[in-house]
Amino acid sequence: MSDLVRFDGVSKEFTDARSKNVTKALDRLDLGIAESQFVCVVGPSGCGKSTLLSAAAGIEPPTTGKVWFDGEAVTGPHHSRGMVFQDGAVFPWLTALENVCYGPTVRGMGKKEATAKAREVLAAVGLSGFESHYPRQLSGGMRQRVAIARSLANEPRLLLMDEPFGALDAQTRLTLQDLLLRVRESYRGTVLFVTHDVDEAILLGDRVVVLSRRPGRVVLDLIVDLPRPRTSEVEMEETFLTIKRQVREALRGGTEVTA
Amino acid sequence: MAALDPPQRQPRSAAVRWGIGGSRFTRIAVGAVLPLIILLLWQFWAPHVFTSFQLPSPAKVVEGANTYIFGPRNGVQYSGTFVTDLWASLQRVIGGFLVGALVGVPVGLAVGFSRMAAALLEPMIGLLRSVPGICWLPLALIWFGFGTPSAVFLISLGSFFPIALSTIQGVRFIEPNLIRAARTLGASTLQAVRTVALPASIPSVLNGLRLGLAYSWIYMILGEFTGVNEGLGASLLLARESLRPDIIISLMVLIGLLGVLSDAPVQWLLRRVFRTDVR
Repeated sequence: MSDLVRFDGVSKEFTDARSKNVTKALDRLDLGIAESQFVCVVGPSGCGKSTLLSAAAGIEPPTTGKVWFDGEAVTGPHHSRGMVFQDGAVFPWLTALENVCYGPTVRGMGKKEATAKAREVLAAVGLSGFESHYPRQLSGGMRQRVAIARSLANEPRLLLMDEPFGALDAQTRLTLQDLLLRVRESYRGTVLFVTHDVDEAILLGDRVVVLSRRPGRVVLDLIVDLPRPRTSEVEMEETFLTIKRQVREALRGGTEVTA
Repeated sequence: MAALDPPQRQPRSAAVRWGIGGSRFTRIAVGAVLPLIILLLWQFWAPHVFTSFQLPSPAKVVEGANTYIFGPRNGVQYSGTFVTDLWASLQRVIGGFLVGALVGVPVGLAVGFSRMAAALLEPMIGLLRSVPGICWLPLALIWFGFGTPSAVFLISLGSFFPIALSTIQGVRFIEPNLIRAARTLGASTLQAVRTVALPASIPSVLNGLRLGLAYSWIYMILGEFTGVNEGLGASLLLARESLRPDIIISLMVLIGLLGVLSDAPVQWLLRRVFRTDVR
């Protein structure tokens, strides 16, 4: 089966406007993702994980190399490639329902149809009864549920998630990981999930990709052979612990300063 | 004058922050201490320093204000003319503020959104802004003569800058992820501007309008010093020539109160908008 997403020699450099210093975030990265795969990317902070997602989303083009999606080069954002940001980026002037309606509406879906869709998705993320709440009336975890629902309402073929639980407290984080595992059972799209939490990556992913320290390259690429549906129980299993050790090892090696 | 601090960052009072300061009644009582001392000094000590013309007694001022506001309209100077003055001033404030807003908001949006518009307009705005508003007075008199048009011109000029500048800031400091989110959800650039950037900048636009209204009051007084017949500022200036210091002080207090009053509806609107906001 050919890949739905292909990163083909993707490099990204940032030039500081004032000092003209060039930072290399990604270095000729190659990565292929099969349709319906849930891929988690882990790596030390600043290794270009988020840059990877921005390139796939089409909101930040790579310096060199190309991202291919369904056989076509990515040139800009598209609703088939949805993105969930770490800060949620929900629209504060819209209610939860209106936020989730945004994607379908902006693409020309009728109001009635969009509302029905949005209610369904909000229910799926456990937010029934909060439709008319504004983001500031919701907790951080609930806001992130809205952000996830908003992306899912578009039924994207690829869902990009940029440390979506990174800003949440430990308890909320566990709840949302469970939620995502449950949502996964009905949403069969492809997911590229970036995190710096090794446990989270193994718990959620079909596959874990470890990036090296900046400039990011793939140093480990593992299939997570754990049955679904999963719960956080799997964290006790031998397979999980073996993978965790390997990932830790790779991360440790990846953080070494290489000349 | 109206308070100019942006409402989204209203600091909690020291009493609330440190958990001291006692009951609401105590705080009001403490707040009344200084005005009372000043009032007492004015009543008992001022007569030894000032002549009754330089600083009339509080009772005399209250009497003057009472006649000015509630007195019979019998043609006697400053008897019941408050409403006429207020109406004349209000028309100028509203007219000037509307012009300032109708030019300031679109200019601010254009500069905030378009690099071309910014390159074209920003240097000019920066240059004009550094000229104090009062400096425009002589030129305004040459262009528009003595009277309402000059006042409206000065008010629109005075309100234009805070409105335009606040709008520019608002557009420039929109959370970039909001725009990115809209784009990945399928919005075109134009749709993202209309459905995300515009609503996201509304709070700053409103803040600018609030500042603009406050400035309108200041420039209204200045504009009426150009020698119009009616208006709060005009009466303030004329009261000196008519040897009525009680009316001068009454008008100063009234203008201050009106500034606070005019801010209330704008504040209410702001609070309504900010209620739906994360900040």
